[in-house]
Amino acid sequence: MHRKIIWALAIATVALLAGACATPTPETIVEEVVITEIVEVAGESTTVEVEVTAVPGRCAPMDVADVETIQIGATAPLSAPGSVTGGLVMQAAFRIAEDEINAAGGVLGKPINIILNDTEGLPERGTAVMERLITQDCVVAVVGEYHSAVGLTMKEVANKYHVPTIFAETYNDDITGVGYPEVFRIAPTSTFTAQMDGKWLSEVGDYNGDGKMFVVIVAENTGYGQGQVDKADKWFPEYGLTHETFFADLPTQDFSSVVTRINALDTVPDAILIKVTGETSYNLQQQLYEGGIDISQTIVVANQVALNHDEFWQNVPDGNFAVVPRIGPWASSATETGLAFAEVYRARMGRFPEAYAFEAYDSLNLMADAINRAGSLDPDAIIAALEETDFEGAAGRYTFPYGSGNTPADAGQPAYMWHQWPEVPLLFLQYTETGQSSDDIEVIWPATYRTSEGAIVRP
Amino acid sequence: MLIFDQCIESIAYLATLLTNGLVMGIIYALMALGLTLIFSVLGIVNFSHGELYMIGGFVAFFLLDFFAGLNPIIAIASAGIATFIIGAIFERLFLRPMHEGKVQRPGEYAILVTFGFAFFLQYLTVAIIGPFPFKASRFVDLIIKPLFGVVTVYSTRVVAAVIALVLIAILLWFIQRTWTGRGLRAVSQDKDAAAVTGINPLRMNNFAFGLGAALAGMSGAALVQVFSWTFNVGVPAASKSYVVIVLGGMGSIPGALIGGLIVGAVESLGTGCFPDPSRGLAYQSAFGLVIFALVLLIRPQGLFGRKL
Amino acid sequence: MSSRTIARIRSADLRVAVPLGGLLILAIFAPVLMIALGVPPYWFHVSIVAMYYAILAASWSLLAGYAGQFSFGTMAFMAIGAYTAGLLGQYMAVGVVPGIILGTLLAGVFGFIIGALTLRLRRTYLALFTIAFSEILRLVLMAEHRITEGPDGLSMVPLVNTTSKVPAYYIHLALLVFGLAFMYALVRSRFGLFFRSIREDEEAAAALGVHVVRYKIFVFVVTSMIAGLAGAVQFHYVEIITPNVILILQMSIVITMAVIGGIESLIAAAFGAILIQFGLEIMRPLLNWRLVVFGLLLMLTLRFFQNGLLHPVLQYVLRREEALAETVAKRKLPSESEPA
Repeated sequence: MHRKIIWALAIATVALLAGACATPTPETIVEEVVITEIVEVAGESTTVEVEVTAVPGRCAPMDVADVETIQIGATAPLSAPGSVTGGLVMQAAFRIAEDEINAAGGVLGKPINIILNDTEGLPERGTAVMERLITQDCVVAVVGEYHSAVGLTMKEVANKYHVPTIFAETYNDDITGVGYPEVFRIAPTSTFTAQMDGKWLSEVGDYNGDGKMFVVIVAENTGYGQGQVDKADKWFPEYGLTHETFFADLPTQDFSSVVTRINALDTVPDAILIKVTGETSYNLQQQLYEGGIDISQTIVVANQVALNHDEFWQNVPDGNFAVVPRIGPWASSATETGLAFAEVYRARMGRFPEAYAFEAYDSLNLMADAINRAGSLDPDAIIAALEETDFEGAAGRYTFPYGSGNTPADAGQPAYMWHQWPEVPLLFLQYTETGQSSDDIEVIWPATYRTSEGAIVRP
Repeated sequence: MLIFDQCIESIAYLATLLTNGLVMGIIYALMALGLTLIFSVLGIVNFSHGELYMIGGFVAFFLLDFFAGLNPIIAIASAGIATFIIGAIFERLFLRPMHEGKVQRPGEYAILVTFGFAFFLQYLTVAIIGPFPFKASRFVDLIIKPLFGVVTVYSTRVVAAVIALVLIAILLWFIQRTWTGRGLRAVSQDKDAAAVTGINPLRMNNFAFGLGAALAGMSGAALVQVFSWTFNVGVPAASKSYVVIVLGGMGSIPGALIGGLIVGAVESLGTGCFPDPSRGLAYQSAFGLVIFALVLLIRPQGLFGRKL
Repeated sequence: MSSRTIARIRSADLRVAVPLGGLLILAIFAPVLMIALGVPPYWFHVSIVAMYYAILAASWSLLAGYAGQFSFGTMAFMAIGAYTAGLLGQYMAVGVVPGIILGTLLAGVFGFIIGALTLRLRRTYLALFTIAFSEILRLVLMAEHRITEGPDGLSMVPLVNTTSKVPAYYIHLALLVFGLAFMYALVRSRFGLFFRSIREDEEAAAALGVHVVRYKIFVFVVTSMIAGLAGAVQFHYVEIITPNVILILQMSIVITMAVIGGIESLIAAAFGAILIQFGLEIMRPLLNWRLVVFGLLLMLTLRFFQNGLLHPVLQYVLRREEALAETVAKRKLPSESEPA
């Protein structure tokens, strides 16, 4: 008898497969339906006919009159293997922005509601989370994300459902490089950070005076680390630098063999760039000092987590004279909005906001500003408004100069400049005293913000 | 180029790698000792060993952080006591029923329940204290000059290794010389015969699991001044301990000691001598795992194991 | 086996066939219903992923529950299948179907090598070695990022060239039904009898002339191939794969699904996977606490409901005991009873 059941199941399987191939599914028929909608333009009594493209599955309302609250999606990594530290920071910043926007009367007269979803640092979760936000939670726009690998898949879904999206902390060039109309970014690109590293290092010059400009990069084996190294490989030679790279898997604890290898290099490096995030960067940095790296010969360039000074000095007690690159504003360079945000953030989290806190905060404010100016929830109108952005945010004055009206190709810019904020602030800071608060840290580069004598403070 | 030039040409380079590898090896040995002890008495591999190590580190850190100027020895001992209690409670609630025959399939059950416990402890830690890194300040303020002028050593690690050596010595004395220690050995050799002589095997199981957990906890406490500590530090540490006990022979105490040293040395030399500098470190954990495969192929019972 | 027992099992088969057949019909028409009711496509995605986990959990329960082999390697074999299909597609323009077939075969080859290496030994060795193997595989896929794209993820050709999720739903459903039927047939066959006898008492089985190691390897290879097949199909659907799928966390999810469902029944394990996938989706707002709950649930299920939470329910619903529950003798610890 059970043989018959198995046969029946097998036949059912074949029938299923045949069925799946043969029947056209109801969903595929309605690929691209263009409907005509009457939209009332605020303030005027005339009605205009607008063509709106309906994408199947997308359920966001088009007309603000239909909604009680405006739903905006946000994403951040909130559980492993994602960077939970980064995710929690972004979560706090989103909440602050949400509260402020609602306290100021919301968007188009309606309160906004942020639906924060966890991407777990996994690209496949990025796809699923975007699908959920767009097709179930009916969000009109999406902001956020921390991991480049996740951003790469999220942008595809944003494009598929035609949902305006601002990426906050994803560096990968290709996210804007593909030129999707829906995709905007306020984080720097990998190319930009590599070029800034190169510019600063070439200004410092031959630190140890051995006639060579040589640096060592220790990078984590993630999208971030690998992206940084790829761009360094491409750009460092342009600045007259040679370099050697070491990759580490996360979470490596013991770096002694690599320190030994660095010590055994023929040339003493002028700088060691730590392209490793979180506690692993602390382990590496402290072991560099304990393993005998001479800071009078070699500059140690820490990861930006080092600006959490209490945590930094606890984990890296020997870390004096470390240089820390900082994306986003610092106390000495922040705008008024930025300082106000920093104060609220400090009350909540006990420290100056991280780069990605600024980015998360600004991404939501930018979106709210664009929806306000668009005067509707229509994605085309929001995208058009975003392209016209001229907004004073916490991290600076935002514009997206290269878009549909002025493509990067026409402007002679690289493709990744599409919908990219070009003026991401990047500072090089340096601790000059053991136990120093990062509030008193020296700004060593660029020259406009400099508080120190030159591009580096020597011990 | 099969291996990195310096590995052949420079004795100082090799000596540095080897010394640092052996120092780490002593620490691995302490951790593996707990695992092997549990295995020899209870007959199970504790898949939550890494998490007990993580908790031991956190207990020591928070004590040192809360009571300024606390003697590190007290912090380490407290970490040992805390993990002993956690281990013993877990054993009593979840493992004793297995030894009493209340569980249908003890082999699978033991693996699964300790694994579930690991999972639980790890995420409980994240949920309570968050994913942020913590690190205790140095136990001893000591700077060791390079040995012979060329071999660089890491002072915090040397301190941890010395602590580990002291703990290993105490453990060996305990097992060889005290009544309870002899009881443990008796149970590990023959449960029924031990029971005849008046030793209660169930109680010994409980004690052995607690003691194994305490060894993991104390190795964590010794290392919380060396490495930044987060909820997931136990995962790589535990997988190293598995390699060590398989290499040394499951249940063998000398095996755990020698195995620890070998794994430490191989990882260090492997990373230092891997030809492509950019990938050597990325494969660091893989070198230990290659030993694992080789042991299974050549000598499955390990260096000191009883014949399987 | 007396003829009366056989007759009882047969009538029991019928009783199981009716509710399962009903469920199958429901699953076949579910998309029509879902579209009619306007359920968002996201829930199609959740259903598809749930079915993929169901296959993995069932194959793991075949290995652990029926054959008594404790492996942490299911996700690694799954990844071998998926990465083989993905890399062949990327570098040699191999089509989707041949890619999936080759991926499945390669997962089987790896299963054979690892099985031959570890299955002669005590069962703990398989557990320890598969943890190690998963970790090595993950490290290699990460470190060789110039080939595998590392953590950025390897793009895979879409399973079916459409934005609709309905074809993918049916393909996964077919895979699940086919997979379960195949495993069920295996369990009920002569092979099944052999490897259950090995699980219950290896020495006795060997004494009766069962080639213990050979059958162990056979089951291990079969389950590896099922995992490889499921992975190749699933990640052609997801269109991207990263080495993080092999993280031990992902494996713990599969194991927990099977345990909570009931590792001694393929169907209970599969249902466990589907329920937990939806449960985890609903518990998302709990963030990290959801995994704490999960771990606790795993331990308590193991301690108090050794047959899983779903298995007794299924038994009750289906009103039968024999064919779902495999009799399990109480045994001593493996360290004491297992031979070399």
